[in-house]
Amino acid sequence: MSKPPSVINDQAHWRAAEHLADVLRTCLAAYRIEADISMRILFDVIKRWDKDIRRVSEVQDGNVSAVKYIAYQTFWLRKLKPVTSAFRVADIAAAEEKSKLSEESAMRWLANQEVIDINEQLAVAVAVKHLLWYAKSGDFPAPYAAGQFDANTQVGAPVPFDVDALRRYLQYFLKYSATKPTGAQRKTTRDNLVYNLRYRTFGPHHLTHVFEQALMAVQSGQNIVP
Amino acid sequence: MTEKELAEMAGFSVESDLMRHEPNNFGPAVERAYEALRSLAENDIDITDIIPSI
Repeated sequence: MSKPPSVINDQAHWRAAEHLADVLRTCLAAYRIEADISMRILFDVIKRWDKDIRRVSEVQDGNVSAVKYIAYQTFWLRKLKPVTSAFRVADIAAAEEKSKLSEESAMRWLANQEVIDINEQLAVAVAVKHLLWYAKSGDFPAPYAAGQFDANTQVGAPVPFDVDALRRYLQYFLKYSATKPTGAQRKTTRDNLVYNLRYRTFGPHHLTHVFEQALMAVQSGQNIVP
Repeated sequence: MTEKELAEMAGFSVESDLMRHEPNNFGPAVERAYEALRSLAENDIDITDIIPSI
């Protein structure tokens, strides 16, 4: 049975919300975007995430893939949308230049540059960071066939999960775009994921499936990146 | 604005030292999820080679 909500849990949740805010701010800085982050909504994200991961953990006796924890966090970020008024620093600078001619048209132009899918974009970025963190921390073991391990020769022993292979796979997978018959490029896998997160029914189970595919691709040991 | 002021604004009455507590009663797997979040907040993992721009 889970423990009832308590003051100390609220404090812990607030602390976790601050950690998540720090991760989001780091992302925004890396991508040169200015935005507002609602701590109250992030607190809500953490509480909903916590409720889900405790429930999943209880149902599965604590034996839960980290991928599910990542998927639930991604889901609540895209669902509750804690980030607003996101603009690229370059666009803000461009608008300042334009405002020398006409402030009204510059502001109208800037309004149209707002990164309206910032929450979905950040949710994917935070998920990728988590995937790499768990991989580096040894939480994703490379599988080996049961019964094939020979203790004397060590043949069949599991090898450490290949973190670099996961990075290479994510580089390839998220940037991949098919070529249309006309020769033009389709949207990338990341564009597609962001679109579906924003406009389609896309729950934690869908995200779990997407992330598990990446891990399984690496665990298969096949060189799937051309 | 300090962490304590933010928390109080959100409706909590807390002592600043209590704010340092991490979740400690959720079991090892859930604690691991919180550990990942805290660790990433303190030590970023660069992913600009995977997601070059937004």
